[in-house]
Amino acid sequence: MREPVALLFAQSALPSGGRVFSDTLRLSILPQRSTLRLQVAARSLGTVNAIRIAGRPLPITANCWTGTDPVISRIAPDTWLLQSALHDAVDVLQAVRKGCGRRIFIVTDVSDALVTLTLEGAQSTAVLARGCGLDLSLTSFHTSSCTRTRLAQLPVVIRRASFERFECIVDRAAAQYLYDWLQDAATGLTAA
Amino acid sequence: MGYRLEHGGHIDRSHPIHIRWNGRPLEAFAGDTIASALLANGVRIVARGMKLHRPRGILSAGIEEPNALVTLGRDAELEPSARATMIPVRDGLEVCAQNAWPSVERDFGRVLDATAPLWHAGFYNKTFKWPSWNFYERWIRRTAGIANPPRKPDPARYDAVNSHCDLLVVGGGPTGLLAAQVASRAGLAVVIAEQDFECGGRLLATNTLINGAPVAVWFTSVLGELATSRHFTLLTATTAFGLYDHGSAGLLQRLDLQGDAPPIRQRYWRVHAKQTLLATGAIEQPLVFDYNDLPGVMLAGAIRQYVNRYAVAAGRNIVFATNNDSAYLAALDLVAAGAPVQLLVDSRAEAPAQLAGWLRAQGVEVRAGTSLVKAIGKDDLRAIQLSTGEEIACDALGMSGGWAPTVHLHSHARAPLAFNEVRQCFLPRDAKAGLLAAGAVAGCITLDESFADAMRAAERVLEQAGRPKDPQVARPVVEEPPVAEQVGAFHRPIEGKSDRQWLDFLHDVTVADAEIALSEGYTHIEHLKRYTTCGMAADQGKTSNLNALLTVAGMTGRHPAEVGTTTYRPPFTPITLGALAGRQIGERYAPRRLLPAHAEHQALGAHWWEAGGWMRPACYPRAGEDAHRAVQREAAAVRADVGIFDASPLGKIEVSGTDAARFLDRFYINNVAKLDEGRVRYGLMLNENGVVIDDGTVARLNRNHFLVTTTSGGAGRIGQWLEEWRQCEWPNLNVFVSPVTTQWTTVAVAGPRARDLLARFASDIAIDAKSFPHMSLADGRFAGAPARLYRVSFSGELGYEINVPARHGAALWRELLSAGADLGVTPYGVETALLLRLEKGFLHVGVDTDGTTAPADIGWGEVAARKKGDFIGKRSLRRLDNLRPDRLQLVGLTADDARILVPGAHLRLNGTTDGSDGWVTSAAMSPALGRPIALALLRGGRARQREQLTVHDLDRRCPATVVDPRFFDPEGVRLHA
Repeated sequence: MREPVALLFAQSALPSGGRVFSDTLRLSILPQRSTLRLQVAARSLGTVNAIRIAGRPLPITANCWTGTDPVISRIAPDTWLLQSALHDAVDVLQAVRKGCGRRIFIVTDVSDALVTLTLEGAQSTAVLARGCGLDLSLTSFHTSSCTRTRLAQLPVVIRRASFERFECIVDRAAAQYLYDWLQDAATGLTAA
Repeated sequence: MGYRLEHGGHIDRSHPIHIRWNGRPLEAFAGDTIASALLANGVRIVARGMKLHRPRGILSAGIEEPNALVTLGRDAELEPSARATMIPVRDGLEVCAQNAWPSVERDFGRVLDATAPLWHAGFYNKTFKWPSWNFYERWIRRTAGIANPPRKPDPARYDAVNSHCDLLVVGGGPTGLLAAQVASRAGLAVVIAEQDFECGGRLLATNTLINGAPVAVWFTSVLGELATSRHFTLLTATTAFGLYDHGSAGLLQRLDLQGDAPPIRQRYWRVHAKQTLLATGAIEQPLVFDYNDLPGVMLAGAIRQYVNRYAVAAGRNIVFATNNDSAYLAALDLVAAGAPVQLLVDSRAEAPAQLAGWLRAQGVEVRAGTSLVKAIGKDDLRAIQLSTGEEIACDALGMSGGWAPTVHLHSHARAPLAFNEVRQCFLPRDAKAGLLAAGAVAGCITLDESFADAMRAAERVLEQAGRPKDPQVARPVVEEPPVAEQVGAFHRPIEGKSDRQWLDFLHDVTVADAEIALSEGYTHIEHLKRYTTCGMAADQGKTSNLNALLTVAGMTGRHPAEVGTTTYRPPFTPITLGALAGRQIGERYAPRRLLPAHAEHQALGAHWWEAGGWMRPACYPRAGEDAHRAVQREAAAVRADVGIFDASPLGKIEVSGTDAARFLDRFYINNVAKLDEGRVRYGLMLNENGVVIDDGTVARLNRNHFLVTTTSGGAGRIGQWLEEWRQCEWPNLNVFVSPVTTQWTTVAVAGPRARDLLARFASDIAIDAKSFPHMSLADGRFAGAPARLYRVSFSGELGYEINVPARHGAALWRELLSAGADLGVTPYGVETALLLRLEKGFLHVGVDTDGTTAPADIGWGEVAARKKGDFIGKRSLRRLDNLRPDRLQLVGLTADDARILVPGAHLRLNGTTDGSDGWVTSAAMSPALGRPIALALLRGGRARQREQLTVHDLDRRCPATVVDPRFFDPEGVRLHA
């Protein structure tokens, strides 16, 4: 009698890694991170500024992010994205439940649904400009900024992680397409 | 005939360049355009008119050129209809004339000119009727158009980029540069778009002094300063082709003009500017007289530009005809350069004293109160005839009918124009917020006025940007001849031959065509434009619209303002499809979504099907199988043993909250609020019109937590639909909507041995028939992974859907195949899944329904009627139209001929002799039943069981019978195993 299949191997949407185009441009795929989507009910939004997740307040300014791990991005008036490279989704979920207390909220694990690609270097803005209509210059999109937008016809969240580093969070099914698209745009930029 | 002057011009005589014109080698210099090179080499005829194939010469020196459209390159690099006036020469460039055979000098098409009266405006509406259009079609298609497109795929790469700035300046002439300098010094981010390959605008055609020095010194200084700014972008060879809402502009940058095969050929810039300044200048207008289309007849300003910029004289015996002062400046520059000018005729009663005096002092005769009535010559200009009757021999004529401001972009932005009596042209009227015009486009005549206007515009820009109005830039001091604003009245020789007086050179439209249009009642300028095609050619009427308008005004006794202009729309100049496509070609044409087990499907030899952006296996043909055989085999395998199907694109939405049940009940026509935990219900969603928009399942995980599934194509749409109602209509409900489609891999396991296969995996979910009946959901673990297990079926067989986090998707697929090998497990694709559901008569929303299908049309009328609570679309179900008995209703069909019983085939009831009573929506050869089956929407179908009808597919027909759509296992025995 055969043994029942007890374990399913886990595989990321894209293998970690990336490509260096030049001193001023690098494209990477981040390893899969725990990602949770927190939605807070409208009637509880008035006390959102008192919520602490692992000691960190939720960002309450529109299109802003805070924290190092978890990184917490406000992507809608009532929605935050929490990402952690160091902690399991279950642990982050516990922290969120504790932080939100008796408020009306929902937390959904979307760790498998999203993939994060990063663009680094002085030319990263120029690459993104080829597929995104937003002004991503430092004056308009500073280092605490994040936003939902469209990049290469895809819905994405773009976060400016640092001065010359952007994270593009995209649905896993479209991650390969976005990676190929960014690669093509970067190649064209460094070749031109 | 034109020739190169020994001195002068901005060309680099130390850098000779060789091009080929119709196979003939020509010499040019760096800095030449194709047009200046052709003129310098004495080429007179560069093209043939579109309709009559009359010889055409170079008319202008800029983007308004209607005649000198040439073909560049060959094979895949072939570029038709390039403006010779805008393309700089480069070594090895091949240039060919268009629209002529066997040569542009001797074109067989000239016979059309001999029969010109047959081809007047609207002739195609009155001719080619007998015996039929098709009789003439092949010949007409051969002769239509002016160029041949490339036949090979374009190997070039194109790019598109978004750019943001504080100020977009369209035009890199003196006005634009000065305004940009002011704005840049104030710290604004500035983009200049200049259509020429170098900045300068009209100053490139003049010898004006700025601040006591040649213009080149001023340009170098300003451009040098701008280049040091980090927030300044200069785009040359870049045409602003459209102005759109919210300060958006479309620019086309050509990167292929200077060298061979650049990495990017053209770039489409989408500029988002807080403010836009139009410094687009003005376009000189032709005069209207008999045979004004002859080679050798050019615009006066163009002749001036060819001398000053390219050191090319347009002829060896040049005359000018004008109704304004600018032609005097052209004549003076030619004389100064040593080009032979004989005469200038001015239609105004008096010539400008100072300018005329200077010309006469140089030996040029000036006649005022005299107009031009005719150009004389067979294939090119030999002489002109004046209103006095005198004929004057010449080989080049510079004509000037005034200057029309280039207001196209201003009109794109829906900003109004006003007719100026003094200038006899339309000027921008009021500025729109964020849009300004300055310089010649705003009506300035002299450079000094343009500089003043540029400063005023720049100050307004600074004010709008919240910067101090102090420009910090001194207005340049200009030394230029006096030029008056007054332009002579438009007129044409009434006694002349109106069918030889051209308005639109590119489309061969004459004054006679306008007369015909008016006589046939097309008095509105928009109608006249379309009836005559005046202004509809590739030059978009840049040298014809105004003359046509003034001609119509004169003929109808109306004021030009009353006649009005036609509507200017983008693009200002032709743009390539390649630039619009940018990087989105081939594999990157549209986003593609991949399944978690994509590589596994690929390894199995899947035939791929793109559906809703997802790449999905249609089937998995084995060696020697085509797709049809593969589908038949897979379907049979599912019915006999077990099959697995990757259903990951299935829409999955979590709906939770204390009001989740109430919320969802408002979307479905059936009751979901009372669903028990662990149970699943199939439901239909309607829009407000009562039309079926999606179907799927609702499963209850716990009291306040539901899982909604939708069609794969509806995942995003239904998620947004739920959110819209939640946020906008019912914000007080305590409910959350959370899409999780790609968080989970979904694999359907279907067939009599499905339970056996699942039992081979470790799980804490009991799957025996009693614990887990049909339409159940359980949450737990499956093979060590968190899982949600459904017992549902789209195939009609015992069926499950295993949902595990997407990271396990590939492994799940592999393990199912491995664990089920001895059970005969067969992977099956989308085509097979659709065949299996068709055999069961299961609905496929969007295929078996259309934009009118209501629940009653597909057999769900009673379910909807029974529901007491309100739901979206309920009220519309009571509309009289929804109660008609002859509505299109879903039925099953059987027939003998699978070749004719196909989706889209139309149905005719017995007794119907024309029209259609419905159509086939889904059809296939059923392996389970051994015959063709179909679903169809049939008029009054539900009352027509067992009726015979006829299926029509193109010119084929066959009989069919209306049957119950539950073709296979109608009692659902296999489903409930």
